Amino acid sequence: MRILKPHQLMTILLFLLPATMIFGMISGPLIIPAVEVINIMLHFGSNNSDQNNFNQNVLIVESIRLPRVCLAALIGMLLASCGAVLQGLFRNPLADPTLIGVSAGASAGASLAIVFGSSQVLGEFSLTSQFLSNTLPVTAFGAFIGGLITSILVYKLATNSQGTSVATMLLAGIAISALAGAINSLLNFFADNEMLRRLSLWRMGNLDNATWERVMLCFFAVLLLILLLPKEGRALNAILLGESEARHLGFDVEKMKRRLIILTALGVGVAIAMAGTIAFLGIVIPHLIRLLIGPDHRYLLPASAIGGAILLVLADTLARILIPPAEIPAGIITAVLGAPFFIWLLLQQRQQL
Amino acid sequence: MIEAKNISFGYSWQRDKNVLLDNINLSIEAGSSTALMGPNGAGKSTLLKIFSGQLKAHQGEIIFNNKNLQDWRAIEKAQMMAVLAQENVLEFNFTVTEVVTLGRSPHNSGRIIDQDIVTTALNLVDAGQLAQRYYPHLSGGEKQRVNLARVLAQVWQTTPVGPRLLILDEPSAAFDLAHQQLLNSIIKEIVSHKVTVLMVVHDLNLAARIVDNIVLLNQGTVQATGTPHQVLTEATIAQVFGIKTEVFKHPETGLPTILI
Repeated sequence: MRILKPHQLMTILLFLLPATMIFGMISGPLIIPAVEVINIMLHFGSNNSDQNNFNQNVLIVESIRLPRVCLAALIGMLLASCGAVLQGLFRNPLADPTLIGVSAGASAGASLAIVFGSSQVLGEFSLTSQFLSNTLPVTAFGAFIGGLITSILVYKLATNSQGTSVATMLLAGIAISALAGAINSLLNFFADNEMLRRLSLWRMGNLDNATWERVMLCFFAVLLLILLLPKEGRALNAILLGESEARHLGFDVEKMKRRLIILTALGVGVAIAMAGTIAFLGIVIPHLIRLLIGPDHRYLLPASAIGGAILLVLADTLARILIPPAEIPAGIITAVLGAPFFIWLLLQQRQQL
Repeated sequence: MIEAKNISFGYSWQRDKNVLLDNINLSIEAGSSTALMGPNGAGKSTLLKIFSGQLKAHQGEIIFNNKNLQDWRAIEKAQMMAVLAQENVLEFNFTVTEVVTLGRSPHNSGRIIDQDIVTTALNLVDAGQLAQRYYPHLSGGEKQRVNLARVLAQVWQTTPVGPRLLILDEPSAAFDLAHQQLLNSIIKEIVSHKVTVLMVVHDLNLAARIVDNIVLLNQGTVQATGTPHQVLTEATIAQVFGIKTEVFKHPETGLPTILI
């Protein structure tokens, strides 16, 4: 069943990622030849220094497509590796950020930010909110805070002195999701036309208006995961045997769960803040990686990160070239591809039981 | 090796009204094998969980290698004590070798040494041929043998740092007849490596064959302790289990053999 060795898969993925990113920069309403893309990349920052020789393609690659593929890659990394962590933590290959309510909480936070952060509501503070929505979008910040509050709340609800109960945690996640859904609906009810449009566009999951600020914010979140997750690989392997078993193997399970839940809330919160709800990436990628190299988290986590990056860059590229010049939100592409896959997974599980 | 001092435990809010364990005092000698026995609900698994530190007693303390169990660092405890639970939940597609290798995670003995120990442990439980199979595809008895190999690998030390304890909760529940017999040689082998064994088993005859000592629990108290000869008498069995039996001396081994 295992087709590849972990290092073989990593090598393949590390070749594929830059290839798909370059493909993403070539594609679009205006096709820019690969050679030119690579050439622009090699002289990044100094291409348009000569004012007399302004090149439109340079502008497209440097200011639009490069930040966009970078953002897609980073968000793909966040979602896929957080998905892999949650599936380990819950000992269930179907666990997903949406299950513990992070997505719903983030969505509610963003809606609140869009409605209450808009100039109409704030009145005299309109200048401030205008400034905020230009640099670090209010929406993004609201989503991040919402996601974080939700996961802390769900975690507190499900944890007592005896440990964390996975069943309670899932149920708490469902309850919080319902509450967040109610907040969303209420805001829809009160929102005016312009707000409604922004709300629904954000919820679809979109990677347009990628800016370097957003890329940097995602980059810091990814950096944090890259620095902190590899240490947890062995503990995640042990916890698959059961929480008591992991304790008997010498791992401090409670502390590890706390670290991982905060880390995934941060990762998922940032991803959702930047690009809205991008569904199923957190399930599909880790599952495919497990099929290829097995469930060992020491290899699963990095491979999922790179795999997620590749898939989201591809999905976003597809979103841009399917019906040009219109852009389908990338979240729709991943949902259309991911939902049948998820149902197939469910059927597989049902047959096993 | 490990000692229970005045251990009391109850699950209810009012602790004294629903007592599962009542003032248990027990001392397990290093290098011995002990079976905890008794009827359903006697408190065997609860006591085992208190010994392993999974449950905290409401009263009393556990002394493990001359140190209160609570004062052990998790990783150091894991190097000295391995625990096999009754149920296992692993649903991910690990191979048998990978599962057993997880047992080595408290140690820093290096990959080559670990591989040797994993192979040894797998062969000991007659699961060498399963090494490359996927764990979720195994039968119940095979899974139990693989998990037994995992905890054996965990206490299989390369550098002697102190007495080690292996706690097993019904290790042979899903074993067939041949593998129940194999449990006998596994326990003898592991005890000969200076590992103390403490386990729950239900089959009185099986226990008589494989352990040095039997602790008979009933309604949360210790009813009898001693060698199988001392504990497994018609009178004690009638008192604890409430059934009439006949106890023979096995013609070849001389061990007590219970006929119902």
